[in-house]
Amino acid sequence: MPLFNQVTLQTPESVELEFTLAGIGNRAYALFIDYLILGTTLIFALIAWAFFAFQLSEFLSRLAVDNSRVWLWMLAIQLLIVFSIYVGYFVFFETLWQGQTPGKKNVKIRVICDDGRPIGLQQSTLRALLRPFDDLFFLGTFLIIFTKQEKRLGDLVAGTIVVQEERPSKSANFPVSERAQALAKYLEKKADISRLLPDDFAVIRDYLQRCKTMTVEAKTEVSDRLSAEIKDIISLEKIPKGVTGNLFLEAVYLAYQQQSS
Amino acid sequence: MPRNISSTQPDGPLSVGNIVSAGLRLYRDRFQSYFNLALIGYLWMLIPIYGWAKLAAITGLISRLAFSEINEHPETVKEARDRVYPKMWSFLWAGCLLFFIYVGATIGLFIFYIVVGAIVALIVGVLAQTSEIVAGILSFLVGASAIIASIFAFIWLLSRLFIVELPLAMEDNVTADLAIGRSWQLTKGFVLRLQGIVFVAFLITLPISIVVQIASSIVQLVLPTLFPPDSALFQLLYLVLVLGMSIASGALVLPFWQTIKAVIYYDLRSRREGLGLKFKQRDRT
Repeated sequence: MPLFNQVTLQTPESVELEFTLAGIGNRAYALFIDYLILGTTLIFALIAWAFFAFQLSEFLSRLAVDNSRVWLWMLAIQLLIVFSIYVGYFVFFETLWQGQTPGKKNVKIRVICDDGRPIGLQQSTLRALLRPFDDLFFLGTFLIIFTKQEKRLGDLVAGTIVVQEERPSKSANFPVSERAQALAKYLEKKADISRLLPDDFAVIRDYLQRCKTMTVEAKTEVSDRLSAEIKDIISLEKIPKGVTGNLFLEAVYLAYQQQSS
Repeated sequence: MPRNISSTQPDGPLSVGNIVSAGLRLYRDRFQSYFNLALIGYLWMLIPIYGWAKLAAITGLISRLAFSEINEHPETVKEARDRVYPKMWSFLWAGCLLFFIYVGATIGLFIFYIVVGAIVALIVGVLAQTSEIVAGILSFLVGASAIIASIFAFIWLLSRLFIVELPLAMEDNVTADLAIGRSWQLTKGFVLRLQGIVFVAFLITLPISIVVQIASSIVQLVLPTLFPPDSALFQLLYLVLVLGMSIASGALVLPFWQTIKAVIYYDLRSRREGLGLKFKQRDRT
């Protein structure tokens, strides 16, 4: 069953872009991180405010000025500080980092416009101003869970959508042994690597990436099973003696890469 | 403009946020069926032993249904039930074993605290004459780190035993003790990730629990104004409403956790055992 919502956006140039929506889990996680940072910032700002307010009132009382109305001003300044940090945090980062905040960056999601463009000052301000309404009674949470495009009020008004960042095509970052290189040369001569489809190659790459965290038994079982199938696909007579499934897959991976480059 | 909403399948290992989203999405799409099962399960809870075994099996059943959807071999409730219910007593036994493990861990914790207490007493006894401040700081540090360490140890234990019902519900020839072993084996090295998932999932259940809290406070406020608080009718209504509401809210949340456990099980099996690594079928010529 499909578990992640996908959306196709049409840019003004009528180019179709496909994105996977961020999902409630990623968004809750990102918001938590952002509120953690925001909360810490607010605490420091309020400490600084209290310090200055106290100094000022000391100073004014020394001048023997009536300072009864000064506290109202200070309160207004405090509210202004809190408001501008709360809104400014999101506007600042989302504008500067093209739709990302530290939390969103961490969980790899991004706000974009409905037509696929990066969001600007206007959209991020609208989103930030409507955030309190979304937080109230968890309205935003319910909207994200139950609507198809996962839009909270801020998204609906600003015309934005939150998507998962495109995963950069997984580059190979696993060490390849010398034995595998030798075996790859052998395979290029003895087998027909060209019969390997890109899909098959992707499976081998996935295996080599995952095998680091796999249990020893599973590693043996899966690599032997995959090797046996590959052997047939590339019409190799038999896997040389003493070659483990893991090594064989590494070699096939290398051989395919060399052949296609 | 965004149009054409389509959906995709998970493809191998998932991120923390995606696991929670996938679990919730699955629950949302199968709400009727999972919620009904959970409700029946909670009603079974009122019957001792047999009912408890049934409830344990139903939690496993919901997870099995969810996993079969993720793994693209969907089963009907009846199919899954035929596989899970025969193991009913294993589910209860697994629950008992977990209970014993936690009791054992708690006893261990008590012993640990006694030892730490003795160490603190020793520090105070030896250092009190020379410097009370040093003794105080030192015993505070020892005590605080002992408490933090024990909390971490408990969380670690809970995480390692988090998905016991999944192997029991999914895998053939798995008994209660083997299932505990399987959970232990699969979660190895993934405790932090599991904690991240549980935390994010907990954040999302907050709105639901707050709504339930509000509803039950309303009942508690309104009911005494409608009926005299001493009357038998009030007592009865109060009991029925409060009990009904806690069962309903429990039944609402249970499938959420069971589907998330199913996604975790899927994710861990693809990471630890290479689940889903296979070549596409094609014509071999």
